Amino acid sequence: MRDSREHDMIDDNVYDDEDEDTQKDKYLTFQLGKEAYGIDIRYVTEIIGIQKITHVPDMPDYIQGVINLRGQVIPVMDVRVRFKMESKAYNDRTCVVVVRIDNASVGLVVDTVNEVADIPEDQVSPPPRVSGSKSSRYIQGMGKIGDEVKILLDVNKLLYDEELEQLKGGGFYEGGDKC
Amino acid sequence: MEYDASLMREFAVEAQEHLESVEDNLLRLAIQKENPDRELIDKVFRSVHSIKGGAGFLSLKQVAKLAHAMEALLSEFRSGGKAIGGDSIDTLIAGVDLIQLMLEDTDRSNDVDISSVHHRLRNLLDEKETEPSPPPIQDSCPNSLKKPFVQEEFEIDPEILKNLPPTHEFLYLLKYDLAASREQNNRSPVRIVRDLLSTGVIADSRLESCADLSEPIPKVPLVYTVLYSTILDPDFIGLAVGLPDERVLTIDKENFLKHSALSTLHAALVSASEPASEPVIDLETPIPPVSSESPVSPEITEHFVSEAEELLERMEHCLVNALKNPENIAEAFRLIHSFKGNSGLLGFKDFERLSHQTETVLEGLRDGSVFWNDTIQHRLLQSIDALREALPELSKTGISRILKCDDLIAQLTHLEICEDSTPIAANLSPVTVSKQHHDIRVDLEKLDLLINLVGELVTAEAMVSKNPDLEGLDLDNFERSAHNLRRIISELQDVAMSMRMVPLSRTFRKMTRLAHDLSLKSGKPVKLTLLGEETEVDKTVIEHITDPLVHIIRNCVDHGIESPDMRRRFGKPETGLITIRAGHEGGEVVIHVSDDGQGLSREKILKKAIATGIVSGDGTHLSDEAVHRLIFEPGFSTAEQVTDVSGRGVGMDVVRRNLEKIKGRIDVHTLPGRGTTLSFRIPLTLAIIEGMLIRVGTARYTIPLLSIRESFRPTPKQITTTMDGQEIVRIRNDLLPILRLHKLYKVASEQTEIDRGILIHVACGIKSVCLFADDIVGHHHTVIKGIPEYIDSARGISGFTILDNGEVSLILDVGSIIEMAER
Repeated sequence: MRDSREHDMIDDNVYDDEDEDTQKDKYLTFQLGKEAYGIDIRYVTEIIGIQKITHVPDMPDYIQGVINLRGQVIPVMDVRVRFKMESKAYNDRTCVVVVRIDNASVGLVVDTVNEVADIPEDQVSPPPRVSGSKSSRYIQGMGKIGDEVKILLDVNKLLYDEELEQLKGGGFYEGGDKC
Repeated sequence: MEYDASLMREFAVEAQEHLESVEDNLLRLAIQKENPDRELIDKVFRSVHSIKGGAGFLSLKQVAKLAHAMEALLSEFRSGGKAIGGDSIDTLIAGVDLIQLMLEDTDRSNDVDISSVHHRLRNLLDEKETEPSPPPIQDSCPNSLKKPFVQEEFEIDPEILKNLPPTHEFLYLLKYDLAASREQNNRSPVRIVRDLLSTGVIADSRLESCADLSEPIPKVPLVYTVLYSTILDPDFIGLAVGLPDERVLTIDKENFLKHSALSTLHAALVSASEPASEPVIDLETPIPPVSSESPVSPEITEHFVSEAEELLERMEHCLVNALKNPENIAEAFRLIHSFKGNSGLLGFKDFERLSHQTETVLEGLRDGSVFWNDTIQHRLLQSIDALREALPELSKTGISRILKCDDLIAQLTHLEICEDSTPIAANLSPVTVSKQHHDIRVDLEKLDLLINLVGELVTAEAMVSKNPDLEGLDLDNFERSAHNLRRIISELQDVAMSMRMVPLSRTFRKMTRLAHDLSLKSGKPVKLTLLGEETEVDKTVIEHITDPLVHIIRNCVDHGIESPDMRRRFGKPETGLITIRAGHEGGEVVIHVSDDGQGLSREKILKKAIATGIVSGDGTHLSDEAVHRLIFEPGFSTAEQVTDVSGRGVGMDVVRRNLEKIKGRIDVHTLPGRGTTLSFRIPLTLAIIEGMLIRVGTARYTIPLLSIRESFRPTPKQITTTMDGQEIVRIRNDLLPILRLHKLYKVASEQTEIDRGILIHVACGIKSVCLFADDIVGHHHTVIKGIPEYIDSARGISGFTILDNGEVSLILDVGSIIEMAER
């Protein structure tokens, strides 16, 4: 009895270590238009199909509104709009990737989810420094898998970086100036 | 000794609660003064006593010391030896404050300087007592310092003794000087302990030193006292442990255990500094003394009294609830037995006699030879009362005397022969037993989780029973079951919600204290009246209104209430009146704080506002109401001079912001020269809403039912449109602006013609508007989901709810919509 419990504990430890390891260098890749993007798997809590989004006034345009995630109301961001890409009608391949940072869950609307890819650190190049690239600040690095390149996104910046936009005065609030 | 941190936390929480009630009761006592309510004093006494007990147990010496001094003063009140005066109440309150402070950081509480308050308490005590009785607690007795030996007290816990191996026949108190052992015999402390453990058990030990223990080995004597249990007999012990005979004290274990309820063993041993001096062994030998008034030291008496009080209290509880559980009788028997043991040991004759008789009766009850009835209960309680009443005298003078002791004993003896009653086991019917309130502490997080789950259950139920797949099916049985389920869930929801509701009384009581302090500080007599303190609000609401209330009471005293001179001149009573009145109004809780002071001055506010640049121009265009609202602007304060009480201009905007956080609002009404009333309006709960669901295009919004006055389809005749396109509807004699929701929220609506849609007349306070929507969908009762932090805040939205079909609906915040419309 006692022995088996000890075994369990060891197993647990091993499992925990593995768990840490399994998350390392792993990215969830998804499609936006022609390109594939990746986000650190540690932030992803689940992936759900698109569902009815309730519009919320006074939000930046990329915040589409809120959805009901099993009784929890979470905001959803259209990543295309966030990157100022041409928006695309949602279809049955459209997915919501739910990410969680600091106890805040946010859904990311993407064209479709591809896979979980293993991209070791030495296969990640720094983001390109190209002037005039507005969205490059969201890039954490460029990951290479064979001859494919995935754009790895900085989830924190994706969710919270908005100062630049505000400074440029780019219509942050959708007609929120008066009512 | 190390204690579990959780134990410490629990004690701190409990003590804080005690202190709150103590504070409150003290203030009430302060008002009663001449005719103090005995029960109140008792309550305060009990609370302080339990704090003392807990603190002592957890080695919070300073807390215990202070509590002890407070308790001593309170027991004077109790016995009537000292009248309650403002001074003593203030001192006691100062003590409460200090203990509160110490409890906030229990780790460092022993470093807190309590001397000033402690001194004040001692002085108050001494004032009354004509004969200088020894103070109840002394750090260091000046006399003993002069003597070559140090008198010490070593407490032996009877529980420890019980757990010692039964083969160990002998118990010794050993006294080592660690510094000397090291130098003379080259025995390190580790070695000593190891040697001891090889031949016995260290039951308890204490190391005392005034030296800094971080130094390797100090030069001063380092006294290490060990309570040592072993099989070695007294002839060998000295040799075995390497101590001269005079430093070994043999304790008669058997006798000690017999009277183990007395937990203090007094031992005076020679200290290491004077090994040559004659050994002084002054052990309170645990043999029942013959004389009735033996010279028992005040400390021991004090210990006895405090323990006795607890025993009696528990006994009382057992007796009152005797019929509930026969086990209570046995418990009472055990308690009185230890009480008797203690009394006998110390030679408190009267106590011993009466408790012996009580014990006999209880024994009879337990064994079934005597039957329980009301008379017995009454008599037993009487004797407990008699014992308790005699305690203050004992602690003061050391004389154990119980009034009418013989009468009581006679009555109890008589009871034994009576047999006209029923055996207790057969008489378990619920007789008049005081109803008990059982509380458990629950982590707020767990509670919130439960409430969330219940909320989800409500939604899930709706999604099942109103599932579109069921449409058109004839499901009689299903409907019945679903109805039943719905009823249970709704009940469950009510219960879950009520768990979060807390009465305002505790918050209000804090204000009593605040007003009392402020009144003293400012020299303005103030009377605070509390009304509706039983009103219950959500716990989160409570957290957010405490600070605003504090600010407002400060403002009332500092700015509102005039000085007594001025008040006399205005023909007002000298004592200023502040009233806090809480109650339900609609779906909101309203708290009015009024004072009968000078009211707000339009001129002063305007002058200040113009000076600080809050208002441009001369301000004549502003309505009175708008001017009064200026006090909520950041950085606004009209007090001519900044006092330490208020007037830094941070108060009122903090108030407003705090209230906004919980979707509350604040209004101000003032009558110059007559006073000011500030009214908080706060939602009853932040978790549930009764709402009307309306539709605008495909969007569905929820309007809190409580803000809705009426809804109707207007006729074109009712509508007037102004030049700038603002539509106004006439309802009977009122003209109300119309707010088109589809315009406000920029959604495509089905109806644009005002007479094809519907108008919902909503109101917030005294203001009303009509909202224009396509249609009314229905009415529902759902859980409010807060706005996710990521979104932060949205215009005119107070939260979300989840509809039966799983979609999210916005809850409209009527108050802010009206504000938006006005701007």
